[in-house]
Amino acid sequence: MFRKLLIANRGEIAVRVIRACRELGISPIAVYSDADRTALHVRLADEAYGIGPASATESYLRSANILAAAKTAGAEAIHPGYGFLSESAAFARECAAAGLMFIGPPPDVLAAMGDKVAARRLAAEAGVPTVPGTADPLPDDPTAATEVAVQIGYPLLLKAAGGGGGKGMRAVGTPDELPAALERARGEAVAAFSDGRVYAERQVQRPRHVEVQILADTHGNVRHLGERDCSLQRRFQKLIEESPAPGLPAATRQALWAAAVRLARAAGYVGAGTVEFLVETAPAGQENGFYFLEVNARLQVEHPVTEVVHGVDLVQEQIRIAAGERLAPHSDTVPTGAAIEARINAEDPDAGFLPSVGVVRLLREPSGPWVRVDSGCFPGQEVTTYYDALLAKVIAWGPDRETARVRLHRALAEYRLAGVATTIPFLRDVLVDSDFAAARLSTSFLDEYQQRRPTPGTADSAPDVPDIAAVGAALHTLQERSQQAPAAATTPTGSRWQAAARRAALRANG
Amino acid sequence: MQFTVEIGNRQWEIAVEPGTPPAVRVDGAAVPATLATLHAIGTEQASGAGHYTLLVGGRAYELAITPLSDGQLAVAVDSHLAIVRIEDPLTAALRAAGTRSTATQGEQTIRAPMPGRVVSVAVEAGQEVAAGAALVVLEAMKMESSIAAPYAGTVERVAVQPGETVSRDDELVVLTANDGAAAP
Repeated sequence: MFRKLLIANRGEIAVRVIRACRELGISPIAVYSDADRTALHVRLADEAYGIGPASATESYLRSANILAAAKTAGAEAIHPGYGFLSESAAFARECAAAGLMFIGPPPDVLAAMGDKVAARRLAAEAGVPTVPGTADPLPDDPTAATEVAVQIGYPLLLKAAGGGGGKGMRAVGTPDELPAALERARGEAVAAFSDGRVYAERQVQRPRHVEVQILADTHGNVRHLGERDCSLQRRFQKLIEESPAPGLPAATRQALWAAAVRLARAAGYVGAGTVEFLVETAPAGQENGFYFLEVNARLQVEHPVTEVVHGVDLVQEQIRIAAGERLAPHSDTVPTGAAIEARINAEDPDAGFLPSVGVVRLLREPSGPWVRVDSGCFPGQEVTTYYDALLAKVIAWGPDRETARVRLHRALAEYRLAGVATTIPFLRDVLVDSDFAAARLSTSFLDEYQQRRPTPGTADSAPDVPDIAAVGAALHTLQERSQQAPAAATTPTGSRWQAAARRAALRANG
Repeated sequence: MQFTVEIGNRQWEIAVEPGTPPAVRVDGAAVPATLATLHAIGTEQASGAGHYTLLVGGRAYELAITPLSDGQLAVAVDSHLAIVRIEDPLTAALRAAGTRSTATQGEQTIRAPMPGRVVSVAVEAGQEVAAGAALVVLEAMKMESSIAAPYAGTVERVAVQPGETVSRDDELVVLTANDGAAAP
């Protein structure tokens, strides 16, 4: 096992990896940008090294600085967390060249998974269904394009080949809508990416986003750890995730697991990874169709829900696999109970989820039975726009989904975080929504929910805040003065002990 | 002690009489409020802020109060933040002192309006100063306050040095009004 491991990340995930290191008896090494000198991960690690200015491109993405820190510290392995360099084949190669173990898949697997077309081809070869569509761009000739579209089937989705983010994306319900939609999609694609290539995909109706957690060791063993439902997304950003996926027939779940394991084997996968699928909603009792979306060749933000229901520490598993250990023999994976995670982002739900910046003035994180908080947050923390808006995650477990849901709502109600706007009030409202409680999930859920969410939200109304703040400010100022006055204005009589007792009494009374 | 508190365009007159607990009146009405200091919250030490639990009529609020560089207070109430302007007795006394001074002609002693510490002295004997010019910076209640010349004049004498602790009404600077400058 490694003696020293460098964590090339920040925030809650750096803290998470430090904890896994501690339990394995590994000395954790932190790196930090100028903006993170006081961050929690810096204070929790055994050693910490500066790697550059606040901007991620000059620090957390600068591999040379990270490798230099690893050398200084004498680290043997690097855990990249998620985001930043975690899926960079080039960084994995640089680590290998520097004699460091990169905690993740081999570089060629990272490269293959990062190429969406290559990953899709691999899935097809492994017998994993992909969304029906064209691998090649649609022809310019409208008649020819219409013929291709009919083969894919309606409704379909036009997507820009040159980039994502919704630009050049158009839903087409019927054949007669196609020519106009194609023209608009091309126009947008040219404007956004200087690339007019547009391809078509079958539009999966009200799909759920379900993903399978896999683990693969260097000895050819591949296993899965069940599935997660991550349908609650806003602009492809997940907000609430859970495991197991509620209401999926056993046959569908088993088919998903098997497909993920087949794909991992075909890819020569090593480490922890996630295979994402779109799952069709099906009438009760029927099996749901599903389509491969992509592979995330890293640890995921939402990994704790899997850990909680399976009793497996995924970060420790990643490190063990990197150290050459074998996975425990595969057994049927039966989750215990249900776990739900809510992401606490520094975003203002009442202002279109715009990033919120500021200083965390007050913080009290929830705890209590079956509540887990993975957080990098601390009082005095300056939240900037340099990095991801994720501050913390709250995960609640229950013997059933309903208990977990109520417990998570209770935990979020305990959360006190002032100084930046957060997703907490929005998440609390979602958790008590009747459709969420009934697990009527789809990737359209949050868009639809935002239409019916009461304004202002029920969880964040606080009409008495200014009055309380005014009274608090007055009492605070009085107390500050009473602590200053004895030293400056009056000459204490009697012993120092008496003076100390008097000050203590003042404080106690204040 | 009387405070004028402003948040946005709202204003409160809050009177706090020392006692156990201090008696609070907001705009004349008694408010059952007790404040208790928290020295640490969870595993984290407070970040230079006053951390409190405030009970108002039996309901508990958690407060974190941080002085801002412009003299205002950032007051966190549970998960909400208010920016508060509070005129405390020090600033009120300063203003009163300024008002008194302008009414007096000739040589006048500028006195400390509150006990505190001299942070810096901006003038020296013989120097001419304009009305409103900073003479001495005093620190009290962890807030720095500039003692300004109430009228244009000449500094006759400086009675304090930086670092010195002064009591209320201690002499700071003696200032002679320039001709015609001291008219109220």
